[in-house]
Amino acid sequence: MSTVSEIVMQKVKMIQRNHTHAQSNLETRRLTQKIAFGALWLTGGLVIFVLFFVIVYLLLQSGKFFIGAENMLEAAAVQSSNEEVRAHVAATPNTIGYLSLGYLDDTIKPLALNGVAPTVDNIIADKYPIVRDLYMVANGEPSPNAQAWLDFVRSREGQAIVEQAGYIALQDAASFQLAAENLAGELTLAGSTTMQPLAEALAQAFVQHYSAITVSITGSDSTLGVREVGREKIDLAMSSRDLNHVEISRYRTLNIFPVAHDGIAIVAHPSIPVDSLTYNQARDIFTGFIDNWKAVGGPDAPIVVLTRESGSGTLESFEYWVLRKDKLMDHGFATGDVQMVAQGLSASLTAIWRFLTTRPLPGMGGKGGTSTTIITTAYMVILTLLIAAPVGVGAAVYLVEYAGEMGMQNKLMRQIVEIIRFTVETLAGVPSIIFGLFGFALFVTILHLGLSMLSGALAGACLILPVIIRTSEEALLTVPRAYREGSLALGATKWQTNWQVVLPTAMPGIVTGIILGIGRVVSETAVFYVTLGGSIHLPTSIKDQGRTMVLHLYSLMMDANAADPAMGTAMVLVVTIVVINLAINYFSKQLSIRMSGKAR
Amino acid sequence: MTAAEIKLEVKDYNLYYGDFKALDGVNVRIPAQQVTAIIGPSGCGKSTFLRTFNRMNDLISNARAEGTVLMEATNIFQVDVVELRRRIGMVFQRANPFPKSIFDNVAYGPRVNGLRDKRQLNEIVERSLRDAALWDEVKDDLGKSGLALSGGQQQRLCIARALAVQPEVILMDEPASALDPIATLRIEELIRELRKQYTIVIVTHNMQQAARVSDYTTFFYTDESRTGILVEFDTTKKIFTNPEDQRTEDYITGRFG
Repeated sequence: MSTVSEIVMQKVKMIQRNHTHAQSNLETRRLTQKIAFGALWLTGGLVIFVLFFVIVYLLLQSGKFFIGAENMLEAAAVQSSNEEVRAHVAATPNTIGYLSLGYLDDTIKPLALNGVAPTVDNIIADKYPIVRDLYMVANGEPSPNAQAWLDFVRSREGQAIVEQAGYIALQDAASFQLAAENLAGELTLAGSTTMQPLAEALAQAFVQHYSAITVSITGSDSTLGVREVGREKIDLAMSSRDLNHVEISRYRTLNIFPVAHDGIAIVAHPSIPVDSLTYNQARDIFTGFIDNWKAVGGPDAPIVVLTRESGSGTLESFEYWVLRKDKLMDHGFATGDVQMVAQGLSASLTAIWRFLTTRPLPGMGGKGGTSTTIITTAYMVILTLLIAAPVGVGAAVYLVEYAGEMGMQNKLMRQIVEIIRFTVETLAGVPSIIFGLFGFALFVTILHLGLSMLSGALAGACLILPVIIRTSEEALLTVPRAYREGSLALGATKWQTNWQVVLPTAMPGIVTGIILGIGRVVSETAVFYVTLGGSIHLPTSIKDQGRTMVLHLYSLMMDANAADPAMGTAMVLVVTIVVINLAINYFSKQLSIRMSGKAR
Repeated sequence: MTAAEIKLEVKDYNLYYGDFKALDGVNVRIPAQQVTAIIGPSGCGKSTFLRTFNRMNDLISNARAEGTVLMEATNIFQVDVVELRRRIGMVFQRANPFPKSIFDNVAYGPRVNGLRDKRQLNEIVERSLRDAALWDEVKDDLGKSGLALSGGQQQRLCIARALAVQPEVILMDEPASALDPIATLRIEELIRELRKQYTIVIVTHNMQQAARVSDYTTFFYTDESRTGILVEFDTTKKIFTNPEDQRTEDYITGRFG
């Protein structure tokens, strides 16, 4: 008896244990599932978060693509040397200019940048951002004379002279050692006028050691100097800026040797009560967007901007800093200067805004912005759609509702519809340049519409018509036959049925076709290239020429050889397409929701 | 039945789809303000016959008709088809409300006939929905989409939509075949109510429904040739208790489906 009950008890306990075991098994599984999902969500969220910031950062780093609208002020008065700048600023009130650190003196007033003064200490401490090195440039291995010069200049003795001149010495100067052989002959230097006084001072000390060497120094500018040394006409070039990629690719054997650190100070007439400028203010002054002293806390007087001649190393170094917002941000990130980063960000955004709102300028370099091209693109989209949408949707309605599946079909009609459909399909695959040439032949030439927005719109309409017809047809065919029958049975005419029941129901699909059409118009080159003309000006009537964003991009790359503004234009284009698609996606969904009723 | 009580009259009516004869020699007189059921095995042309009255067969390109169909002495093939369809409405087998709001569905008929006055439209919509026994269920949200209703409600919406143009005849093609039994009963109740004002012709494959709902019954039949003929027409009571034709009797008693 007891054994039986024992067995029963055992069995019951086992069942209970299995039950709880199974339950806890299930619970553990559920828990692990929850943890897994949680981890997945977390990772996903983090990835999106990081991606977002990376994209924003990259976008704002792309500052150099949007500088087209912000160029150094064309109206600035050109000076040919640091000394000239100094003299001019000292003599003329309301002037502002920039010069090398070594030329600062009491006749002019250096302006601080965001409160950081352009002093040697601030540069060594990495606080002042407009810095550049002064270089000697040789072609290949320096000649023995040139090598001796370089060794001298970079020695402690040479660097002492550098410091005396007002520049910043290199960190690791060694003590000077005389060269082994007896050196004699010539040593020719040419290039930056900034470095000329320094070079002359160094030469005076140099010939004390090497009396047999004659040093000749010519001041022209950094660009000319590099060119001379590249052509092996001189021993060393003096450059107050880094080599640019044109020089690197053209003279492949150049070697550069930094001989001093320098800063560029912004200077104004001493009577100006302004002591400091923000980075953005400085930039806006030198690019012409701020033209009166009162905007930065000075008197109500126009700012007279001085700049250097084209080819000057000082100009290029300064311009590089002033126009490249991403450099500002890089410097800010490197030194941990949050204010600089913030100003770089706002500068980038301003640059993008200016790029979008100023007109493109004619000539090389792709100067100016993209405003007229954006508006012209919008015009072309509207015009082309005005022509293509009614014709396309109308054709689709005819093909489906009257001649085709939903209409009275007889054999002849069916065959005609087949032929038309085949033609439309084929046209959808024809390369756009052919539509362009067709448009040129028919609209521009034969119909005498000339290169104009009208010709472009007509040719563009031909291009997107097949797509619109095809997608509209598909949309109409998805409308259930029962809707048409229901409408007709109520005493509606075929026309009323199409307008009030069939078309509204097919609208989402038709809108899709129109979106595809818009996308094609915005990104189309070949068709508009031969029908639109190339004017950068804003067209005021449909008979005017114009330029779409894509054509502008093409022109920038091919004609003006301006890759950076081209990239900027490309970015604007992509964003435009994304925005258009998002907007129409949204409206299409709204239409669908309204038509199919609120979700159950 | 006196002449004044006949609504629709069909004389020697043949219908061809191309070369195929779908209906052969149909003769019948449909009484006014009564419910006439059309029963018969599948494929015998019941729906085709029904669609004759509002000329929906015109939509089929190779359909050809011979014979006469009169509505109160007017030849339906000689009047404007749009006007005809306003006077003879139709409710389909599967409910087909438009993808519009309930209000716009019911107001569609009056609107396409030219009625714009908002006040009148509101009245018509309310009246039609009441007559279709749907008003209480939807009166709070007439802006809701017609597609958001249940199957039975959608079918009543379609009935309301048909009623809104104030037809004289309502044709119903198996109106409850896609509905559950409770919804079906409601439709049947509705039909009995509507009889007071409208002439109703209803095709049904459900004999019990025909027996419940109709005053008169027509029996159609087809053989291997698939050509439909009208075998017998009489009061529902007579057809279901004591039919004249053997084929009718066989069908009623379920000897063939």
